[in-house]
Amino acid sequence: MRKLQHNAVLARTIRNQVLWTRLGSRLGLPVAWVTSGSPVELVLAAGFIPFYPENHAAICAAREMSQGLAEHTEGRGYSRDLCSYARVDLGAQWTGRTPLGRLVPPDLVLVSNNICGTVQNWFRLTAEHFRVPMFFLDTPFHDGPPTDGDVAYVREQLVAMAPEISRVGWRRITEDRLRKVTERSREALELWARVLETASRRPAPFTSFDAFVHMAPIVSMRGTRRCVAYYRGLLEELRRRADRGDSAIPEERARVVWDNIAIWPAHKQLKKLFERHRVALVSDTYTSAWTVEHLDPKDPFTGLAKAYTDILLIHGVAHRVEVLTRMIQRFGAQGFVLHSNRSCKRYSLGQYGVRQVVTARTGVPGVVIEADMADPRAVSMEHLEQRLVPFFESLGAGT
Amino acid sequence: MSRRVAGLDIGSTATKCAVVEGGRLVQAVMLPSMPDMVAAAREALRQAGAEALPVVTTGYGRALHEPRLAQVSEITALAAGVGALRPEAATVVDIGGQDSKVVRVQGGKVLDFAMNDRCAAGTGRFLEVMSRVLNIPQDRFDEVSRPEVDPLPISSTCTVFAESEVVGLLSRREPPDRILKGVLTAVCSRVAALGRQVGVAAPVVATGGPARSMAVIRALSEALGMEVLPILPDPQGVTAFGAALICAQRAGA
Repeated sequence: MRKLQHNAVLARTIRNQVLWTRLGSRLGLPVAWVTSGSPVELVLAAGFIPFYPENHAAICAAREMSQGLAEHTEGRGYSRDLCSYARVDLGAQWTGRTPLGRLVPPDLVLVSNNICGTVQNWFRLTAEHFRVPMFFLDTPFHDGPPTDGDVAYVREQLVAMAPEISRVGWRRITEDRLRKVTERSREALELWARVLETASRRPAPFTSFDAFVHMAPIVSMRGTRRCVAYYRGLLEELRRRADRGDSAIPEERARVVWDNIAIWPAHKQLKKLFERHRVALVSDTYTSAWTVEHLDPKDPFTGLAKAYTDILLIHGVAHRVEVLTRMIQRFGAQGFVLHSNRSCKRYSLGQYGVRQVVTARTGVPGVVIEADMADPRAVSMEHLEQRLVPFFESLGAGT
Repeated sequence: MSRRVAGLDIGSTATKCAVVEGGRLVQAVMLPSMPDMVAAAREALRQAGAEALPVVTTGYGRALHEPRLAQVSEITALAAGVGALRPEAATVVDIGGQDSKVVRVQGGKVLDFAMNDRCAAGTGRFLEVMSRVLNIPQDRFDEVSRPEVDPLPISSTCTVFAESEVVGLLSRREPPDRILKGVLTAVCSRVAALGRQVGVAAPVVATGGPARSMAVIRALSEALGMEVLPILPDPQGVTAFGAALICAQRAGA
């Protein structure tokens, strides 16, 4: 077991990104606050620096700042049942407290409801707070693959949005600029997919606990050259590790896959729990939520419309069953863990049914654990151990 | 050559120690875990004459006791214990002090399980609270909740709400035996709902402290719609026994 050299590279990359955002905004570059599922390529083509409130909330949770921020928002009358990312991030906006030192205010916000409906209200509050325009991309929910009508509907909105976004930005969105950005996004996503694929090697040189952290650039820097360079480096390191037989988990005894967002307040403890029981978390539905194949530099608007109507969470439950089934088979997993995330209703709805159907199809058992992605008050390590340890033992792993 | 080994189950309510030799139980001890779990564990080992034996620990407090051979989760230990005592069992319903679980088993191994541990509803704690409110000690449940008693419906499964509901019923002078029967029905329907997550298959056996009560077993059978048999005489010691069997296996005894 050897540490990833890229952990240090990641820390440097993120630090530079934060500094660059701050410096850029001081130099007068416009900043766009965007959701993780919004077509960031548009704002990049218009010269914006993107900022991701969801990522920011995750950082707050990992740095143990989320509870205080969430409580501030609850104090203003927002229910504890709302998404913790929203509560944490709004708390940060309203109090100005952030682990990043200072929040760089937006010049516009860009939202799509392809990940959930909450972002629509959360970003509306953000737009009101900073008195900036909000751009909203409506994406239809679908049970099967998106229809031509779905794609045309989304494409039309993107085309209509482009000149308006250009007006707030410092340069016009041209097809040519959009093509370049899309090409870089596609390249980074392709590299990222290959990075995730390395965990199918035995023993796995990389686990989803690493992926949860190393996904930061693909979320917040996709469309940039630095993002492509980062994943090229990471992929190289992982291939070397796999060739040497370096494993992420000492004496890997079982392989499992994960559904739903990471549990940030318990990320480190959970990672250690898996390690202690020699269980490799080889894949998950969270870090692989984007699809690469649609992005098309030749026809960027159609490619973006297809890509952003094909996000994991916009599909019905049957799709998740498909994704998990394929994942279990491809990564040779002996079990799966479903994180029932108190904050993310869209992601967690139907998990008990998903569990039964996936087990029936693959023959491997699953376990549901209850927690939250960012609210430590809804995360109990005791509970997580109570569920996971017997599950690991039933897979033949243990201390 | 067979030698003695021990299993120690440090539960939230009781600490149980089992000593086995050649796969058979030779000694069993049970003590309250509170107020000092570490002292209870030490005392249980001393009383069982297991201080110098290899020990596998299990239960909520399993990490507290050193030195040990290994620790396993109580679900794995429970399945091993049931596998030895009732090899034909397909489902185990365990009502513990702090949680309740339904475990699908086969030949001493866990196939699947569902667990209720974020909420006191459906656990021994629920019964404890109600026993206090009704002023009926748990060892008198069978005497009070006789088969012919008609249960009063308790609609809340939440322990806090159900407690207020019971207080309300008492203040309306409803008979305590009917209330108690209602309480047992409420607990068991909660456990049955848990069972539906994994699918309950016959034969079903019951373990944990409350399984000593025939009134609980009857309510459980009704809620599940199938016969439930308690593992007697010591339903609370099955997990410690299972831990001892795992110990024997690992120590090569």
